[in-house]
Amino acid sequence: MIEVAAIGEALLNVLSPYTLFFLVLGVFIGIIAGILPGINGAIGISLILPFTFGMPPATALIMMLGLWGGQNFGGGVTAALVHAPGAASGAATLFDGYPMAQKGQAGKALGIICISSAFGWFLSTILLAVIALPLAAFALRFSAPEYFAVGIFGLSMVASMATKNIFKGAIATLMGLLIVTIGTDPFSGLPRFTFGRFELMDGINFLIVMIGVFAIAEVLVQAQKPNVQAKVQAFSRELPTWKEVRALLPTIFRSSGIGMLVGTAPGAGGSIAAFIAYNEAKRFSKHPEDFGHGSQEGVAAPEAANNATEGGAMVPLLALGVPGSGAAAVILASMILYGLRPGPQIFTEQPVLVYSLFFGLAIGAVVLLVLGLLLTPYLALVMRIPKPYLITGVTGIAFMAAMAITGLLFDVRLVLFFGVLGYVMRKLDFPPAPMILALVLGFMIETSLRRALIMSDGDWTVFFTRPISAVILCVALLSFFYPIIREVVSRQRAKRRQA
Amino acid sequence: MRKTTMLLSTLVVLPLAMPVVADTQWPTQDVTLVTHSSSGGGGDVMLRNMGRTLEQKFGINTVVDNRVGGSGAVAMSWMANQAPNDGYTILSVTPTQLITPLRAPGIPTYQDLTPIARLLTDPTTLYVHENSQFESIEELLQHARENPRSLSIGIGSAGSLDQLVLQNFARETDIDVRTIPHEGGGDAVVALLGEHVDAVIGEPGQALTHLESGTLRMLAVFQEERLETYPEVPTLQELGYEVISNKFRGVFGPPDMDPELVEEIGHTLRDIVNDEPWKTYWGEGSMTPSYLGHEEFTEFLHVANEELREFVEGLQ
Repeated sequence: MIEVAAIGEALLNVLSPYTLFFLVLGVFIGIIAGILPGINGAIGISLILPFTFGMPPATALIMMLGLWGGQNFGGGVTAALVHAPGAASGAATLFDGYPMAQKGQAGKALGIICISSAFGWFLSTILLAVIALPLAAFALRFSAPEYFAVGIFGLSMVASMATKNIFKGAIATLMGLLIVTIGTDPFSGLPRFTFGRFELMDGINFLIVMIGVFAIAEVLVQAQKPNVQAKVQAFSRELPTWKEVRALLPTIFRSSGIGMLVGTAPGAGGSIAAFIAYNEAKRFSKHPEDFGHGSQEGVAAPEAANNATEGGAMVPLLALGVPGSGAAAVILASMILYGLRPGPQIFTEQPVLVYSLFFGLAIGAVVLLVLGLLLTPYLALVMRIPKPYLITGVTGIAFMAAMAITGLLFDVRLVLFFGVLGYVMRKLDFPPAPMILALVLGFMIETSLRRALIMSDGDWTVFFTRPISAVILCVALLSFFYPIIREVVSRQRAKRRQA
Repeated sequence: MRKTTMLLSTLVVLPLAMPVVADTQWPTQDVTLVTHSSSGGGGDVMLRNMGRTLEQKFGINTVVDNRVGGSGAVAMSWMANQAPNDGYTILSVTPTQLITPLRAPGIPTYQDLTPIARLLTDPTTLYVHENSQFESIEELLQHARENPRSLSIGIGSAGSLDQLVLQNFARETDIDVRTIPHEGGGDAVVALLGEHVDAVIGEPGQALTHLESGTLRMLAVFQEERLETYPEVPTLQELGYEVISNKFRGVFGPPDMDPELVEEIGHTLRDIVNDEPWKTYWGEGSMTPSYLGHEEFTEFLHVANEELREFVEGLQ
């Protein structure tokens, strides 16, 4: 059902200077919102919402979509520069983005973040335009057992994240799962492990934990180093070369696909997609040992994936009228405010609008590429700030972020608590990444496990009698044992060589 | 004759009404609208529509202040302890503001704040997928009675008013079903679209397009009157079951407000009922304007709170 006239009209709509201006503005505001910890896409979009009244709906929605995409990029920038994600979607970018920036390749790291983000965004838009409706039908086949399987698959990455010491990795994972249980029991609605504090009733935001465990812990480690001189660090604003980008393309394509698929499932989101893409990149990489020490693939994968979730999330939003994330919820609310009714019929009733959104998304990706690469040299200047000043600044930003997320002083104390915890973990060589992974996935795993068992009336075989869930769980098992076996085999080989 | 009466009444009423309207008609300055919802959540959407309507009608500005956290506790305690009580900071409320203080002690309750007005009632309804074997609520009930625990019914979230309605529904109709809580009403609708649950109890607003296109079919309404938007769907009362849901939407103010001011705010919010976009907002959601002023609203809250107290104690 391709209507040439509608496509033409949509293209004219989007390419008008008026719409383009607001698209560029949206992407720019999004980048800023992403960089600032505590301001996410949903908040950014609500902030511009009042200014969009009076615009044609398509323009307003395109501006919001631009903001959303810009935000996914900005979150990674903060992760790479200050060791704390500016938005949840940037969480996995921290693992390799920060080491890259520390090695003096800030320009390259940000360049890769920008290029992968733009690619992921663009590719997911194409997929969205081509297969939105069938994909929506596929997403509907996901029920609790399938979500549980996806969660377990995600958690199986722990094995490859903690190859040095699988037991310490397991302990860190369990700590993360324990932290997730704090809050409100999702099946009784009663407070659970909240110690009588109502601030804990909604659980602990994983960004609060990340800011503590990564940013504050890093500050403590740096502050402990004696006699740090106020000298300029090794630093380059150089962007990645075309050769480097070309080498990343397979990773970017694969990660965009992952991001698109995960984004389609309401209930998963940018951060989950980024973690899964990160792990897949490591599995497929020729140099998995570089991951965690500044691997370019490790930066490209999560960034391509988190931007691709936007195209993915548009699938249930447009085809089912169901928001898959906070940002999507605000966009859905605005659509209703404009008198639009997302649902399967919107594709036939409002083709011009739908195509306008597709074109807006595609052009938004190009805008992000240009804007991001223009801004990168200036953003990278952060790394020229001498260490003592930088870590002081990071401390301030960390506490400000904690305040911005909920506005509670209690959360500032939590950040401090997790900072000390992260510091102790680093000193004792416990990897923090599995803990964060467990935090990101734990809630989905718990609720889908319990929901699946209620649905099956307590029958555990439900996870293996449903084909999609069975396949994902088998892959999860392989994915869990593969790194361990590989490690054991390579150690034995090394021993044999010595002997 | 009629003209004379009108003229007379205008002459009589005008001098009395005019000074009040001119002097103290709320709002004359910017209003802060507080909600516990995050951006895009239920309370947030309600206040954005209300704010926009007030802006257009009174030429003031409004700000939505999302004080998220603690299932509403954060917003409640901020209102109780820090909000200015000049009438320009008001909180959106739903049954959540009653349930949360019942779940955990130490949180300010409705008695610590000033109930200003109940504005709307959200209908609670039961709907099934178009492929469902059930064409009417009686068929569903009969199947449920013959096959205990065979039906699974999705609700938005655990410990919510929807769960209470489902409990009352099951008790009153003498059926045994499995309750499947989700992470919000939208998720429950997705589960029903994928036919992973047999029915969903929730607001029609969250499944609007699907109810209109016929992908989902509404079988029953849990309120006293049939819905204007779905006149063919029977209420449970008509079928002889006393199951009524009172999912209200209203506003609270900080403690110790001037009673006249409270009444004025209530009247202003009552009178925007046909102004846009407020009218579209409640119309699209199949809500019913059900204004109650301060005193009646407080009475209503006493009754609702007692029922919810029993329900929450039953969860433990």
